[in-house]
Amino acid sequence: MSLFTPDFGLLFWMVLCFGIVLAVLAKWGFPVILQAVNSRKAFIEESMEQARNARESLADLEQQRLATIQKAREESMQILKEAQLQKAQILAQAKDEAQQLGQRMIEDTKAELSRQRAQVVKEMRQQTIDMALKIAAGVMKEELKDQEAQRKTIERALDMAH
Amino acid sequence: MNDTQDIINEHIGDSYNWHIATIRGEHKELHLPVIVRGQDGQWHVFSSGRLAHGHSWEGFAIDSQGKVAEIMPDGSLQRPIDLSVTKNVAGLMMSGILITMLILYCARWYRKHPLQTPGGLVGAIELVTCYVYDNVVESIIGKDKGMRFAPYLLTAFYFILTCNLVGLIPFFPFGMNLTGNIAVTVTLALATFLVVNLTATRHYWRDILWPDVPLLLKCPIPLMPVIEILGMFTKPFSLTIRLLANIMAGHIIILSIICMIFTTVSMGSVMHSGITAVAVGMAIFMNMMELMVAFLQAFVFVTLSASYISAAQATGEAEQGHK
Repeated sequence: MSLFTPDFGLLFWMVLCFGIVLAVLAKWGFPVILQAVNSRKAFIEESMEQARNARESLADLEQQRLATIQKAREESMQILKEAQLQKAQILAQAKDEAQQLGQRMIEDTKAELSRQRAQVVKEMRQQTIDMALKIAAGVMKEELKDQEAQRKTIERALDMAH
Repeated sequence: MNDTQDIINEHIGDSYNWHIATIRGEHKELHLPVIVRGQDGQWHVFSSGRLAHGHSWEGFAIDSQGKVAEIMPDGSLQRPIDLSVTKNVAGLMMSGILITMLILYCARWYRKHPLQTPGGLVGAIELVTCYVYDNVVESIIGKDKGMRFAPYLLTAFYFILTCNLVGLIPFFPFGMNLTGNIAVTVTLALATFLVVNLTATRHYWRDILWPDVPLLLKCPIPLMPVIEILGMFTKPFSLTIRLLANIMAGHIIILSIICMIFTTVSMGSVMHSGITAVAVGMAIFMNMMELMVAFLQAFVFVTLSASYISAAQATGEAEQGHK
């Protein structure tokens, strides 16, 4: 059997064998395996991507949570501060108002007093005039009898009026 | 010394019988079917056992070359069309069935277990398949076109690997020298040749028939086209010879080393045992080497095939990209 001249029978069978093996494996063998491996690779990559995304969004969520807490704390501080401010304001206002009210009452009182005094003065003046008129009338009646006595009468009348 | 040559030739050659062992001078062998077409146009199918010990059957006998020949009316012997299932044919069938079943089993596993990672046998096959696919198909041909050629290249790889390994196992039902036979390697190389040239792009043919060289190199005398066309054929030729020579050489070396044990019997017990120890050591080493070569040559064959395919897939754009 020569080593370097192909034997026809073997060539024939080899073509047949290899042809059949190739046909079968190219149809049902390797494409299935390669596709399975490829789709699995894709699946693994996708899963990794998803895991990465999930981890990132979890971290995001945590950040958000902390941020929310921080914000809430700040807001409560703000509210407290504002309340404090308001309290002080209200107090100040109340004080102010009380002061104003007091002032007004004092003024009212003062006005009343001066009004009353004016009244009193007016009345007094009236009375004084009346009295003076009466006295004058009395004096008139006495008719200048006694000048000294008249003077004394007026003095007395003034004393009484005062 | 002639014995040694005969033994080696018998081991690396083909045969109508499948020799299992010789026990007490008696050959235990499997008689394989002889299928021949005589001069009369009739097909004859009979067991090769009928032709043993120089017997003739239905007008056929073994000639001096060890082949089945037809006895002509004038007494001369003539080679008929011989499609006998020889030892190598049986080995090829066995390897083919083995590899087909193995790969189909894997494919079935993947179909039943989508998106799962296999272990054991299927895992090992996946490892090798992905190794070849990633390092040969995808890296040489590219991802988009790779899928088209992957089945051929992987089939060739597994076929060669199986045949190489079958050749390395010395006992029945293995041990035939498949990829060390030129009929086998020439078929494989021819397959690559066909795949390369039947899928080739117009650009590839233009490069062969009207290459981009000075006009004088191709116009009056088509020097470059002739060289290029020659190149088309030297590629599969080199594939054929490389695989054949590597595997055959390995077989011859191992057989020679083993035969050293038997040829030194007459040199005295000291010499003989010394040589035996050395020969066994060397044979073990060579077998290890051949195990590597079995994988390497299969890998080299598909790598070169892939690079030839890739060259034939060239498009003008890729060429301009290189420049």
